[in-house]
This record gives sequence, structure tokens and C-alpha cells, in this order.
Amino acid sequence: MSSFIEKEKKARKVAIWIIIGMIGIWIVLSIFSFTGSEVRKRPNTENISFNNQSALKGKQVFQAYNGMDCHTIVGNGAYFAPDLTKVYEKTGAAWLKAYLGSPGTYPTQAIVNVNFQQLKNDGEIDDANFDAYLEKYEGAKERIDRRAGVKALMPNLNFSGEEIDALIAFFKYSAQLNTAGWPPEVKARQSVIDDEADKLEKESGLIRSFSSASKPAGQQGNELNTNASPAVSGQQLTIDLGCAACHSTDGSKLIGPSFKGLYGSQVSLDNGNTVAADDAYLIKSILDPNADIVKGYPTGVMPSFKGMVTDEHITDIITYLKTLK
Amino acid sequence: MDFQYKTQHFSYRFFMLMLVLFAFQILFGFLLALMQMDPELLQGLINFNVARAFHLNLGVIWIVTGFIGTILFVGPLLGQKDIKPMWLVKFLFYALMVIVVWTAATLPLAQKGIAGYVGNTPWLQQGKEFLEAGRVTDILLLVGFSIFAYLTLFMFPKKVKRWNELHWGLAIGVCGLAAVWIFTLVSSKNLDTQEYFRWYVVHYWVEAVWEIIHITLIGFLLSRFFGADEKEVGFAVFWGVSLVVLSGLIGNSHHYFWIGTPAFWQFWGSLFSALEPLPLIFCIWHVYLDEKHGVTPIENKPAFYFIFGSALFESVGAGVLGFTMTMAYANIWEHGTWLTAAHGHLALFGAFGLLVIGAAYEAIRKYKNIYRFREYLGKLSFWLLFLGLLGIMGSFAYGGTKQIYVYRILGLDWWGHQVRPAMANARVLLGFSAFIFLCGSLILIYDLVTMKNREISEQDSKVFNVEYIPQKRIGRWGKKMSSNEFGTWLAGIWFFGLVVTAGVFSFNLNSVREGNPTIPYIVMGIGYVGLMLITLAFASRFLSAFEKRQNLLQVLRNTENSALQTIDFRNGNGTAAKEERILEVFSRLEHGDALIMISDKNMAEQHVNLHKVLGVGFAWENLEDGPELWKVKVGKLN
Repeated sequence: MSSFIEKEKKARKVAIWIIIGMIGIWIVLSIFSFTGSEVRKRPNTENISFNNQSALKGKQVFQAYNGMDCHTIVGNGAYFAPDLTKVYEKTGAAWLKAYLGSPGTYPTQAIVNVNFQQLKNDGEIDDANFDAYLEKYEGAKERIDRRAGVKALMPNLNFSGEEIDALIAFFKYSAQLNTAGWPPEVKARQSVIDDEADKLEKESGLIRSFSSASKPAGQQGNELNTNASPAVSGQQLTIDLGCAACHSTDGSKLIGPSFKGLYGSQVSLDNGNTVAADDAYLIKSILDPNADIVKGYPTGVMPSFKGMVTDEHITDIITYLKTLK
Repeated sequence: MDFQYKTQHFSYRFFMLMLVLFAFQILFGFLLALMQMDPELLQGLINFNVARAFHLNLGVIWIVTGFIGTILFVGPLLGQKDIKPMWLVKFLFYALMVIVVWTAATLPLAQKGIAGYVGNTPWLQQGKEFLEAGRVTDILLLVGFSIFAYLTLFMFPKKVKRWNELHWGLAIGVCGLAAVWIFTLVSSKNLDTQEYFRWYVVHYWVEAVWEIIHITLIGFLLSRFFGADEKEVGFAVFWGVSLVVLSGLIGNSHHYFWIGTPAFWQFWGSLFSALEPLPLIFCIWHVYLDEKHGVTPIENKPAFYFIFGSALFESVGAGVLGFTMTMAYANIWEHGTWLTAAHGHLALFGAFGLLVIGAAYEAIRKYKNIYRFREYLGKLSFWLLFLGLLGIMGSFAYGGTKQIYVYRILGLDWWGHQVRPAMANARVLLGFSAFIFLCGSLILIYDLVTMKNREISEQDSKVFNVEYIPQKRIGRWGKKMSSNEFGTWLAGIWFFGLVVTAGVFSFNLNSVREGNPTIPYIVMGIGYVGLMLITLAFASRFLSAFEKRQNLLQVLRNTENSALQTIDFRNGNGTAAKEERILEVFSRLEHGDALIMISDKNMAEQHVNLHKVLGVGFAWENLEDGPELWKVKVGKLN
């Protein structure tokens, strides 16, 4: 027994030296972790921005809304919603801007297009045209084809326009992180992917939240001309353009003010003025939405539809709004 | 009251606070399970992320509160000294409550996107997983942990030379608790460095500091329960703690594979975190050895149940499940999926939660001066929590396996209509398991709070114990567990662990990557189901043998010594072959019967020799211990 104790005493000394050695290795590795050649290439939130918002601000916004306890980022988080590390690479800025403005509903092609045009005019996107954008960001195309107009599970967090831009800057940053091959590249056969996607979507009882289901997927918002009466055509336009994602027709508050009873009402603005919602006001709101902001609603969320809609479209929409008493 | 030291009284209020926090954590957990089924439940009122922040932070803080309670309970016994000044403990208690209330008030600000930034420092809440509370809470907690470290060290002998391994273990533990927490104060501008230091806190807490406290407390509590030799416990604590540091320090880098940190961590993280199960196997092995030491029935079986459960889940949840996903080629699939949650629940609640509950059982019994109590509620709650936890683990594992296929192999990322529907069955299982767990928790809290109602006084216990009589035969499940059998069970658990590991690795196969999930589904299915069943069977077997042994010890205590058969070795009687005679009489005894030996020489040699033949199947009780007369009672156990 005593010899065992003696031996054990010696073994303990050896163990302690081994531990000290391990601590040495750990310190060396930790130093390399910050000074190695790989590290110097890592992206920096302060050098990346979008629409004048820095990725650093975006990181702060992401944390302030505790995005990590629903989503994951670099794989860490709650597994309750998609991983966002590479989302920018997949969808690009226009889709993200459209989605984050009204996270309760997946944006239609028209609304992504509106955002694209606006970002293009501002010089934030350099793709030649919308088709080139969709070709580059397959995730955006897939989302428009499959999900446009469908209810999303994310709650409406009432992001301001600046917060949305900051978040996009942050995702632009996170997509540049070198995640050493994670998540692994998808190598599955396209037929398997499509079959499984169709099966799962069917199982989930996919119900589109408003009536665009009769059209084949991928065509929503492409045909802006109809031969129907102006009010019906106006209603269809509010769906195709994605207005309905943010503006309810039953008086409930979504992202923006409800359409119900809007026409002809008195609207309080956040600059303290009150204006009548007449034709001129509505036209201005469609073409230059941030000029007059209704009290209690965020600025910079609704894109301008200038160039996306004709005068005839606007007339139809207003005719439709008149019917919503 | 049954406490030797005034400090110990304070442990009671910390355990009561712990139960309140625990109750809230479980309710939030159940709410999360419901939200998994209906993602829009309470949306806008309390969003999933806020509920989860509560679930995580409460989970951390109630276990820490339990640690504080346990250390206040055992610390004075270790140091033979009261804390001074006593008001500092009271202050710590109220400060803890203030911190909890403050944090609970700030976490919901996430729904409004308010973090309280000054520069890059979020003062109110900061949306970092596990560390969601803001800088105000961080600083207050750092002060609290420092006070607690001071108080604990105060109780220990002034001269460090007089410290044994238990002192060292707790000292490293309480200082580490505060030291590691310092890294919550780091605000990084970049995500990679933020995550890097976030894991300093999370990993080094649960996989180093907490582990060290856990090993030390288990060692101490078992030596109290079973009278295990302090030297042997010291041996276990030294090597346990060393292995934790050896494997856990660099093992931390299994968090650094894919977060934008350099790729060399993949090698080091895979290598050292694969060693992390070693201290955990070592720990449960010692629980097994210590349990056999006792020769008098323990007064608090539920406490042992929970402590055993803690060592077992540490081995299965932290050790085995941790191993299955820790190597880079497996981790690349597991990372960011429900498989992590399967490991996390079993490891965190299983290892640390169950331990502090076990300690609470003993501290509350002592505080209320209860001799014995009817234990059915405690055991019922143990089994419900055990089953619920295994179920939660299994549900996450099942959902995670499907998730890897749909989300990673096929790359489908539409949560509402692609990923969620694939995991639908797992969510139902999760809700069901969470419900069982909730029931177990409620019974547990009720039992701990109203333990006095089920008291059995010393008087009653004599009547109560009459039902224990010697038995002719012992069923297979109640027989003592040999070390070979114990080793076989552990090997079985590891076998299924390796099957799971193979399953996770099989996602790398070409056929799987092309879209055929059959192999991982089958292999992981066998692995996880087998792991759950064998864990359950092992716990049932181990605790049956324990119960049987305790019953027989009770029988032995009840028997009148004068009525027993006596072997008299005095005056050189039978010097030649004492052992043969003892064994011959012993073999005719029923289980729970005993024989008496009288000798004019010390019989320690016979004790050792009997061990060689009978293992731990007998109880040796010295009735008289020299110098002229030695009298020993040898009882037959299972």
C-alpha cells in the first residue's frame, strides 16, 4: 500500500507537469489564433457597410433583437429558424430588404424588383438588371418562385429602414467569414431535392395567405395588365405588388397602415400635421413613400414604386381602395 | 436542527430560491416545447427568443444557486469553521434576487430591439446565446461570484499545506467561477472574436469549472453517505480534476471549427475533446466503488438516486453524446442542428442539475431535522425526470437527424414548409417528453418543500422497519453488481455511443450526400434508441442492487445480535483455517442474516481475505474493537 502511495505521489507530479505543458500549448495556439496569416484576411465589421449603415451597427441590431435565440449564426443559436451566416450570398440585398420590411410574409417578385430598382438607383447594387440579379442570387429566385406571398413564421419586429440596412450590412459581413467549409456543400441530386421539397411542402399543408394560388408559381406579379374592372384589377395589383403583405384590408395593423377606410380619411403624420387621404396623397405615398410618414409607423421601410407602376395602375389601386369602407 | 455550523443554515434559503428559479426554468422550457409545435403561440406577447433567453439564463442561475447552497452546506464541514462576517451571506442572497429580477426585466427588451448600447457595450441585454443578460448583470454577477469565492476560501484552513484534494477542488472551482466570468465583459466588434470569447465563458464554465466543482462535491457527499475513505476520495478528486483540465482546456476548441477562426483548431479540438469523456467515466466508476463502502443503511436514498443520476448523465450526456459530435468530420453535420440540443439538455441538467437536487435533498432533510422520510415521491420524481430527460434527448436527436438530411444534405432551408414539416414527429415527442419532465419537476418541488409531512421519526422507524426480513433468494436484478458487470454496462453504453458516432460520420458517404439517407437513419436510429434503453436499464439495474443492499443493511441493523450464531475464535480455537469456518457458516446464512465472531486477536486480516472471496457481498461491522476482545458482525448482503 505504501509503495502505491509513493508511486501515486510521483504520478501526480508528472500529471501536474503535463498539465502545465498543455497550458503552454494552449497559450501558443491561442496566440496563433489571433496572429496567423489566415486571421489577417478575416473580414471586419467596421470596413463593411450597406446603404451607409456599417456591419458593426448591424451586429448590434442583430444582438439587440436577440436574433441568436431564434436563428443560428455561424451555427450557434436556437435552431428555431434558418442559419443566417450565408444568407446574403444566397438571396442578395434586394430580397433581404424586401423581406425584412415585412417579415410576416415572403415578398413577391414585384416587391423585390421595386427594392432592386431603388438599390440600383442608390448605387448599392451593381447587377445590370433584375434578371441578372436573380441569376446571381439563386436563393432569391427560389424564394420568389416557391414562397412569394406565403405567410412566414417570423414575427414582425418593426425594423426601421436603417436597422434593415444595418442588418444587411451585417449579413454581407457574415457571408465573408471563412467558416472552413461549413455548412457543407450540397451535393444531392436535383431530382431528390425537388421531390423532397414538393413532398414536404404538401405535407405542411401549404396555404397561401391570399389568393395568388390560382396562378402557377413564378408568375406572380409579372402580369400587371388585366381586362377586369378597375377595382378588381386594383385588388389584384395590391396582391401582385406585395402591398397586402404590409397593409391589411380588415383594419388590423400589419407593417403599415390598414387600407380599410383609408380613402378620404384624415391621417395624422409624425411631423404633427394632419392630411386628407385623397388621390394626391395616395399617389405621393406610392411614388415617394417616405415623404409623409403616418404617426406610429417606421420610416424607410416602404420602397418607392416609381417606375414600377403606370398611372393606370395607380388609378386602379385607388379605385380599389375606395371600395374598402 | 441538525447542523453543526450556522453557515449551513443559510444553505436552506439558497435551495428554496433554487427551487423557485428551477420551477420557472421548467415552465419556460415547457412553453418552448409548445412554441415548437405552434410557432405563433404568444407571438408578440413573448417571442420564442425571449422565452429561450429566460430558459437558458434561469438554467444557469438556478444551478449556480444550487452550487452556492451546496458549498455553504459542505464548506463548514470541510473547513470546520463558520463564515465571517455572516451578513455577507445574507447580502449575497438578496443581491442574487435583485440580479434575477433585474435580468428578468431586461431580457424582454429584445422584442423592441433595445440593448442599451453605449459605444459597443450593451448594458441592458446583449442577445448572445447563454449570456443574454446585459453588462449590468455581468458586472453584478462578477461581484457576487467574487464575494462567494472569498467566503468559501474563508472557511478553509489558513495554511494551504493543510488543504486536501477536496479543499483544492472547491477552491479552484469557486475562483474559476469568478475568473472565467470576466470574459463576459469582452465586447467584440467582430462576430468571430465575440464567439471565441463567448465560449471561454460557456465552455470553461460547464466543461471545466462546473465539472471540477461537480467532481469535488460528489466525492464529498459520497464520503459522507457511505463513510468512504477520505484518501480514496481525494485520489478520485485529484485525478478527476486533472483529467478535466487536461482534456477540457484545449477541448474548448471544438467550438472553433466553423466560426471564422483558423482551421488548425479542427485538429486540436478533435483530439482533446475526444479525451473529455475520461474524467466522466472515472467519476461514475468512483460512485460505483464508494456506494459499496457503506455498512449502515443511508438515511436519504433519493439524495443518492439524484447523485447517481448526475454521474450517469454526465457520462452519457456529456461524455458519450459529446464524443459522438466532437470530431470535426462529425461536427460539420451536427453543428447548428437539434443534435446539439440533445447533448446539451442531457449534459447540463443531467450532470449539474441532478447533483444540486441531490444535495438539496440532504441539506433540507438536515435543516428540517428529519430523521427519515417516506421516499416514494422523491423516487417517483427521479424516475419521471429521468424518463422525461431521456425523452427530450431522444426527441432532439430524432429531429436533429431529420434536420441534417433536409437542411444540410438537400439544402432545403424554408423553415415553415420544408424543414419544420420534416421534424414534425420529433416535435410531438418533444412536447410529450417535456410534459413528463414537467410532472417530475412539480412532484420534486412538492416533495422537497413538504418533506416534513412524510417524516418517519426514530420511534416510528422501528415499527416501519419490521417489514424488512431476511430473504432466501435474491432476484437477478437485485443481486450485487460486480465490477465486471458494471464495466460491461459502461461498455454497452459506449457501444451505442460509437454506433451514433458512426451514424453521424456516415453523412460523409457519397451515397448519403447524393440524397439517400437510409444509412444514417438506420445507424443513428439504432444508436440513439439503444443508448436510451441501455441507460435506462443500467440505471434500473444499478439502483435495484442499491435498494436491495440498503434493505438488507436495514435488516441487519434490526436483528438482535444476541440471537445470532456465534463463532468463537478465542484461546487459539480454529486458528488454522478461520476463513474456511467463516465461509462455511456464512454460506448457510440467508440474505440479511448475520453471524457474530469473537476473538482475542484483531481480525482485520480476515476482513481483507473475506473481501477477496466475497467481494462486496457482506457487511463487516466492528462491535468491539480490542484491545482484549474483538467482536465482529458479518452480515450477508445481496
